[in-house]
Amino acid sequence: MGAAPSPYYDDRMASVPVPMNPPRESAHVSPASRSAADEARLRAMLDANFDFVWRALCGLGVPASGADDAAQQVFLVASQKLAAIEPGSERAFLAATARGIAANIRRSRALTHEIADEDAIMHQMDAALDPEQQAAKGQALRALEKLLQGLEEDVRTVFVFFELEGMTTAEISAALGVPMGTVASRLRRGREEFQAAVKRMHASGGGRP
Amino acid sequence: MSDPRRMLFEEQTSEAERELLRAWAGVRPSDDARKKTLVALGMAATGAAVGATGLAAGAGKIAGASIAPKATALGAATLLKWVALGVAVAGAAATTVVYVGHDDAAPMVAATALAPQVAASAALPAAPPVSVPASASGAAPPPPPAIATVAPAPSKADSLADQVAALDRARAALRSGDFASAVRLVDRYEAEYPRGAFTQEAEAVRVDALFRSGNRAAAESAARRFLAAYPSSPHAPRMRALLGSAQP
Repeated sequence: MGAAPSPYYDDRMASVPVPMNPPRESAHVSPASRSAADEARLRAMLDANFDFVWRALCGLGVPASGADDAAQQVFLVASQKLAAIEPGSERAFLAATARGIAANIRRSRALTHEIADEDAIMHQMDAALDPEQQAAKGQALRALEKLLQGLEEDVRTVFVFFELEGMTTAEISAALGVPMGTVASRLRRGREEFQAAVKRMHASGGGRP
Repeated sequence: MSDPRRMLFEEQTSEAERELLRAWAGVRPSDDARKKTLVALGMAATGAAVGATGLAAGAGKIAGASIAPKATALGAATLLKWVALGVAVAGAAATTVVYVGHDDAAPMVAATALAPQVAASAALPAAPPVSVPASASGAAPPPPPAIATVAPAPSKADSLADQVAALDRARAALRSGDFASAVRLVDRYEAEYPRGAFTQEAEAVRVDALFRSGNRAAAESAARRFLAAYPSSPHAPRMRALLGSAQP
């Protein structure tokens, strides 16, 4: 697969429209003007992919406290660009959009020196687990979050999409607009760094990850 | 090309690595997160809301039909005027951001065209008459309708579905071009649910309704209040677009 530039997302869409980048008219499709077919498609997209988008955002560094809004933003973008999303590539579009929005959120958090909420993801822990299981899971999740934070953004994106969210490398290649070979090499690097980090954690953390 | 297996299922993956990867399965959104997104997209999150939508939309259709062609022409003229005004006011700004009210098909009706629609919206219970220009010309939100003060506090379980239904009625009114009713339904929603889950969405409907009713000043003031209250809302970019480059 070639290195076509990603048609799915550009960073301006999630940022504040400034005079230099006036929003296009097509970016303002309101619910009032959506056709029934579009509405059905959008709803199917949301039903099939909401959890995926929400989790991918968390994996890409959006705190769980902000993931609801961020997920909403992803689907708002999807609703505005619905006509441009080819049938069958919905998930790639959503993944690409989530990546862009997560990057924006990370940037603005860095700018405002917002303190990372370490336990952010933990608020969403499975309520069905007993407290001890939750504690163990929580610890593992915290370790995973920290580990992901240590990865370079491109590597992290591929690792999260492939290992945690089960996307195929072809989907990732389409979503990111990079060749399959690049996806494969980023995945390889992600795995190596993941394995090394787990080893380090074990060495320093008394056996617990 | 075939993909490698996921690490979680590779034999050489250590138990410590597996534990971390498995922990990811516990990450999932709440049910409310999905519902809120549905509502933000203008889609009813419950079946109950659908009936109400149909009813209100039907009423709006009857009311809107007679004035539609005129309103569309009027809308185009009004828009042009705003563009001209925007250029004049923005002056030095390189580009003027013009809010286009979402869609070209929907008429941007001047406030004077609203009267027959308000009269015809039989789906709505009687409420104090609210004229669109008056409701938001000042900075303060309009007074809540009297009906809200006697409504019993809904139980939490019902609340979300009721809120969705209430907001959906406002949206249906907006969709059908019944802007005065849309604003009134937003007022009612906010009075009934002072800390409602969809206050942002309701306010966004208000801004749309005011804007599309031709009440640019009131729409801008509502948009400014929105941005002050919810600067990082997913709807904030749209509000800023509406306010254009004049927004500080």
